[in-house]
Amino acid sequence: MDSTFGLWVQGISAALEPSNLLFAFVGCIIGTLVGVLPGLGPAAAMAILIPFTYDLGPVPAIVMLSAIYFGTQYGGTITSVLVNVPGESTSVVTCLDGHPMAKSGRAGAALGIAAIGSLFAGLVGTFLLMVLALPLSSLALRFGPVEMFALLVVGLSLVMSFRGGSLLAAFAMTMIGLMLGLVGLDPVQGAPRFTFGNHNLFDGVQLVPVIMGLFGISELLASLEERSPQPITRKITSLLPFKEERKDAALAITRGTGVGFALGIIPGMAGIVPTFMAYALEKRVSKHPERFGHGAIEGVASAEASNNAHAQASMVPLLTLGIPGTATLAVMMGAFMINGITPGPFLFVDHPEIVWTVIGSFIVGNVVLFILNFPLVHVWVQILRIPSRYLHVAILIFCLLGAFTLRNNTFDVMVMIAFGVLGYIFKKLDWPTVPLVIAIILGPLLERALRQSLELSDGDASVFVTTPVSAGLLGLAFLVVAVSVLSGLRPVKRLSSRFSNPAGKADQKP
Amino acid sequence: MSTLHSSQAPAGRRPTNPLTRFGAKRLAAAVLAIVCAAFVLEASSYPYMDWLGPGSGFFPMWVGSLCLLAALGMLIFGSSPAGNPPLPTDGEADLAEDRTLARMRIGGTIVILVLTGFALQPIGFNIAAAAMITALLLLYGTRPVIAVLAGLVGAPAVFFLFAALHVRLPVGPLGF
Amino acid sequence: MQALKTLRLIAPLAVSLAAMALAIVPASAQAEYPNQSIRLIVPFSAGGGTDLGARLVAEDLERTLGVSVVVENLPGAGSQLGLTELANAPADGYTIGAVNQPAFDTIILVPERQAAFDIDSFDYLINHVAEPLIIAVLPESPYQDLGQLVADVAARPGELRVATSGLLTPEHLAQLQLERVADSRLRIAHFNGASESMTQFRGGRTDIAFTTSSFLEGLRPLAILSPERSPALPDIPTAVEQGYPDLVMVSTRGFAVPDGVPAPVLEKLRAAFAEVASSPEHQARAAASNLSVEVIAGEDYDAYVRANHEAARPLVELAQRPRN
Repeated sequence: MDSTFGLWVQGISAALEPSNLLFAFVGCIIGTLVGVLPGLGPAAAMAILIPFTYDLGPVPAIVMLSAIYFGTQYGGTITSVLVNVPGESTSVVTCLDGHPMAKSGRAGAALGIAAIGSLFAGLVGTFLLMVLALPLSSLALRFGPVEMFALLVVGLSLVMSFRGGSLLAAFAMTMIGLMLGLVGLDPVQGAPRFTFGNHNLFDGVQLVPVIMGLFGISELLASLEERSPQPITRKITSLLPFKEERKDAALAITRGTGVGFALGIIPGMAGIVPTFMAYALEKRVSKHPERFGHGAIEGVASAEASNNAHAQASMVPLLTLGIPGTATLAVMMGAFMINGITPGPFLFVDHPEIVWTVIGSFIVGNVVLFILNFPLVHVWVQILRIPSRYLHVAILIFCLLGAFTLRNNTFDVMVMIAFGVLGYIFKKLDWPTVPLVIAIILGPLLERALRQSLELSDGDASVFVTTPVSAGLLGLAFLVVAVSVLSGLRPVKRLSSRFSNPAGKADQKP
Repeated sequence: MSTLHSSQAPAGRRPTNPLTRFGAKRLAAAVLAIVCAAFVLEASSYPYMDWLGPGSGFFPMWVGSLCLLAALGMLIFGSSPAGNPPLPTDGEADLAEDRTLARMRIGGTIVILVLTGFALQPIGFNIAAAAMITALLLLYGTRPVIAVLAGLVGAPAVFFLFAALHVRLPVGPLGF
Repeated sequence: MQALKTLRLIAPLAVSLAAMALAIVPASAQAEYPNQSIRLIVPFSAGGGTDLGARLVAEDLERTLGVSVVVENLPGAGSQLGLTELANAPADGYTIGAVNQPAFDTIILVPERQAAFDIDSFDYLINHVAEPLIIAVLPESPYQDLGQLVADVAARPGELRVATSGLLTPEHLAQLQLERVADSRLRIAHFNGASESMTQFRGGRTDIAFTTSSFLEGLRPLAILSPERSPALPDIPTAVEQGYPDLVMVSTRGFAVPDGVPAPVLEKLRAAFAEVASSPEHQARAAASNLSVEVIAGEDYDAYVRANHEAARPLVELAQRPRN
């Protein structure tokens, strides 16, 4: 344990080096800046900012990327509270109570509790990640393609099971994602599949342009239809909640952190699930559930805490197994790889200094973000006052460049635009895009793992049931599918029907 | 309280959106079904099994077929209304009155993006981006003088920002 | 409407600017070579080994040639995208590309990849870096030398497991060579990159490591697959000296221009590259970045590329055949 502690200290002190600290500051600022832009969630914001790290070298690049990661998330919160435009699905929950709070003049308290909740969840989450990472990574070394295959099956079954919306649509979107993931040179013979002779598709459909299209361009196109929503720009006075709210908020933050982290470890569990669960939990334990949806501070607190705890927890499968569980992390993984770092168990063995610096930078990033936000919150509010057309043009330019500079390739720009249009259509149809993106990520990993397992076993498919870990995981996946089909997804349906009418209960008892 | 509730109820928005009408959803399902059928057809030309087990056609076949089934299911039963928690809307965020204007903006944005994408390498970032910024701002209703100025200032500003970050953006044949 | 009007104004302007530019370029190209900046296409991502080497060369080349040399990363499809761009570039000496063997060979030799170029599409300038593969095992493994390993592979066909860093990578080709030498079969599994395949080895899921010098720590090297011993690793015996002349697999990185560059320009480029790569100062800097420079210049490099290409041909065919 001593040596582990030494590694922690090393990692944190590396992250605290003046130059790295500077990158953390810059990352937090530009992350928040881009995250604040309405309609741009963390995944798209991260994708846009990748070019900024091309020339930094691995450690500063990662310090900056994780700062950007937390920055974009907090930026999204600001937009949710003040403009009621969530950057991604998880921020929907923040909107539910955050925006009503802002309307009643308490934007400061909402943003303050969000910052406190994020910081707490971030620190606790990073601590748990530190404790878990090393044992898990040594376990992960024993995790071969057989076990990986089984884990990915669990992940994909979860993607399809936990979702809002139409059962069929979510299933179809997962399948579309898997289909897109099959494009490119196959892992069996190296022959091109579904490329139509286009060499640009040999490596598959590039993920970053897809994410920028689905989560960036499409949002922007949709917002062109609407009058730009007016941000609440009343002067923010106090960032602190009322005294009598503090205990409830603190408890909500603690519970949200627990729910977010516990569920976030599972790959494929999109952040929306723990966030909703944490919110529902708060509503259930609250003495005044009728306040939820009308500006209950616990709602904002638990949503933000579980969101950020989830963000930390999903680093566990990324760092130990190399499986990115969310779209944002897939972008992050891509950025790691651009900087010459491949996440996975090998990283802990061969480059412990990098891993622990990454983890150290999470702590630094969270703290820097927290410190920055108190003085800068007024600046972020000002950004929302810039006429939206200038913001739109800026977002479009940066999306264009983000897609282009990835491979200096015009084809990728066209992929981004095409997915922007597709995403717009999906939005109109209410077909969820998150399962699609997760499936694009996990699908190729699944096929490769299956193939590798058979290559190593010389075609003996029984390895999947004779390997204990794999057998257990496959059993779990079967259970997940069985339960979700049999129950008709009752829990999720119940949740979503509750949210589709957030004010329902309150009307009877105002 | 009641005014707050009515302004937050999301239901009022849906019927005004043409794409969410039943027919549009079925049309989308039909298009998806056709795409899946083509996918399965292409997949059938790849070896389904090989000496080790599943070949390069195995996954495509299954995934394509399952997607085809889902698409046919949506075509027949329709996709049930989304349970995605709708946002409490503010009322102010209603559809713009002039829907033709909105459509023109969306179409124009896409066209400008595509043109800029193709122009980036041949004529260089600065010219392409300046044109793009000006065209987009004009499309969104900015005064021409300001739009042109924004293009002339904005494009080189971004160029130098990236240059400072050691990311080389394409330059045209004139060297800028 | 306003936007349309603007577009109508801008489009002709852009076209005429482009036309002006096109008119200027050929005129300036007639002066003595080189008199404008040179494009160095690296068909791999920034930050990788090839990129590192190319940037070192570009820096020194700028001084030797007196014009700027701009590295342009065009990654994708295992260098196929960048090489296609190189093959289609004008053969005027102002576009140079980095060429990696055997990646380059396998793109050409696999018919499904429909490469838009072949070995004759380029003129070869110089070999810069050479990285021989090394066969290694864990210290507790029973194999003490390559002979014992080959004998065991021959005795137990389809039993021993190995991992590659991808289909038709140097590791894969070397494993196919081993199969041919032992007249046996290995269980070959394809992973994504060297660190993944080494994870399998460390995790005990493969029996033999085919790797490079940077992964050797804690392993027992049995043979290096270069024709002669490596100056950097003089203690590792070659497979050739252990009696296996057909076990040679070196991944090399060199530079090429599109075919048809005027002879004086080609000579000038070859001389400049040779001067840069042979300088001790350059080699010291390369060594500091873990790159072992091995200069093969001019016509020799041309012959070397072609010989490697022919050596790869039967292996690629072997990889394409069903195995059982």
